[in-house]
Amino acid sequence: MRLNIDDVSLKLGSSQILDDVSLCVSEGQIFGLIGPNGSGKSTLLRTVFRALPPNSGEILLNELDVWKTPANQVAQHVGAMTQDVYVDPALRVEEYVATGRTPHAKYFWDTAEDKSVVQKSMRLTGVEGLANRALASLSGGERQRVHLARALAQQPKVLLLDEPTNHLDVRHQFELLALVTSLSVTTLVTLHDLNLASFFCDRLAVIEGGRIVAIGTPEDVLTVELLQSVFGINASITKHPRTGKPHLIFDHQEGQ
Amino acid sequence: MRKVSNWAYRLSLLFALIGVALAIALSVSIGSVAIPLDKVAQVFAHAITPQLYAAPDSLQSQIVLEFRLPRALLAAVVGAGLAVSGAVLQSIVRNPLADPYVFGVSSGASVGAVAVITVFAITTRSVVTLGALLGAVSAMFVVFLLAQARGSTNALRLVLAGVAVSFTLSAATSFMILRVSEPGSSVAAVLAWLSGSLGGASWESLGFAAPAVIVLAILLLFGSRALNAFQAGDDLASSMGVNPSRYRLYFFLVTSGLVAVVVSVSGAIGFVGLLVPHVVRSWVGSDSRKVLPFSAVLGALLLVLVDIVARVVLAPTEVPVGVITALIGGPAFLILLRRIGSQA
Repeated sequence: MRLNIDDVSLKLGSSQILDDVSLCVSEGQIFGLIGPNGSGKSTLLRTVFRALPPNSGEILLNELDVWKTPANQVAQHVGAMTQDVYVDPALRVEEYVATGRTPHAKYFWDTAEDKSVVQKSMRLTGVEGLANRALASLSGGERQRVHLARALAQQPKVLLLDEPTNHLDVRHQFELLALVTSLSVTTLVTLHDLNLASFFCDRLAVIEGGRIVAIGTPEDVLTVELLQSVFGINASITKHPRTGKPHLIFDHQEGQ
Repeated sequence: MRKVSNWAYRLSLLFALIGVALAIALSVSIGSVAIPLDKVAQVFAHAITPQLYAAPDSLQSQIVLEFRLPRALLAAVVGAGLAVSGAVLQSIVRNPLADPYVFGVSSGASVGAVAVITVFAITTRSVVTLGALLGAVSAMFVVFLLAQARGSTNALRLVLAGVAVSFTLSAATSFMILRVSEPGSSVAAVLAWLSGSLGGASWESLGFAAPAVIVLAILLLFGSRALNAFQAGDDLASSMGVNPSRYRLYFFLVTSGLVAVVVSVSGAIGFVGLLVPHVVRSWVGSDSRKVLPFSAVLGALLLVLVDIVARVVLAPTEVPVGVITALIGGPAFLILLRRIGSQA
């Protein structure tokens, strides 16, 4: 499924959070959103999974207008993983993953299909062994995989991931994003780690103050000038020895 | 949290249901005039199929059918209603300490009932019930309007508005009680009502409360998938197609209606709505589709049993049920807290 964000603007109070944002994620692509803290990355995702209606603009899944389609129907196509999820700590992993079936539910009890999708999502993310554990008892890495399993239980054609690698050690960061890549689902992901973004994303958009300031392949976007102007950091750009993708080495000197 | 398989869940639900039936039979049998269980059975059998069973002793029949049976059934209905609304409210405000009275509905009911008793000097039960219902519904709307901001309601605003309204209305209730010049029957009636009592049970109050509680509880049960989605937080609930503020409004209105009905027939009986859902979750897990039915049955069982104790413990004086539930509920809740604490 293709995700099209067209001229989306959003004002909260007097501050313009999103300003004419447009981007297109084609079928199966991993699209990275990068930008400094508070630039509007998470807000943009929230307008796509219907948590926050934009003031203007359109969000389309193929031909389907997200804000003119019943929420339930949108949720059958779009799965999300957010930051700082509040979850009842006593909830068991399997119960939590099973809530992902909500938009598909036809009956009061789960169907055989519901159950098999939940099992499959847990297997895919490697959390089936944790099924009966309370969420409070999981490590950071386990918890992120459980959140992903819940999103996958929605059988999404579009995945929205807000900082999925937060709180993860370097191995788990790579494992999680490799897993996402292997799903070949259209994915829009926000990332703070620019090297991870370069490594895993097909395309990147840089967002600053609610506006998109650069868009394209990692090679196009990750330039010395952009890193200086948007992130305020000096970097030298090398190539990853195996993939050839841009790899950034940051530098900071006192008094700069 | 342990996992109970589906068959264990069904079996325990069945046992709890049988327990409710037994408790009701026991409640009908026990009292100032003890009626043996076989006589109770005879009264029921005769009432259902008079042509097959001999007519029982008419006094016993009257005690069973006119006084004790409606009271036991009302206890079951009230217990079920309180436990279900407690379970729902704990989920939607995401606070395990929420109870059915958190939105100020019971304080509203108290003001209504006490106004009827003290200002209008009416102690007729049905009029007091009506006053309580009006008070509860008005309080509910005030809380809802206060919690509104830019067309949506959030959990915190609802709780804060509920607390503010509760305090104000409790003060109004105290004021009305104090301004009664001659303490007498009306103050006793007020106190019995305030601490929660099933003394006024009748077929009329049951005929009003039972259908209302059943319908409203079923409406809540229909929302249990949405309640499950709520457990993942507002943002993720939206991403699963569950509009948080719309569903919160739905649950708020239905539970408030349910609590208003229950409080209007029994006064504010504490701890049932707080305690029962916790016990149930520790047994069946957090899936609302299991928590709500099981809470209803366990709440019914608990209140029928507590009502027996309330009638027996200081006989012939009757202790308000609310006093017993608080007496049992306080320590029970502490034990539960310790257990939950040691698991985490």
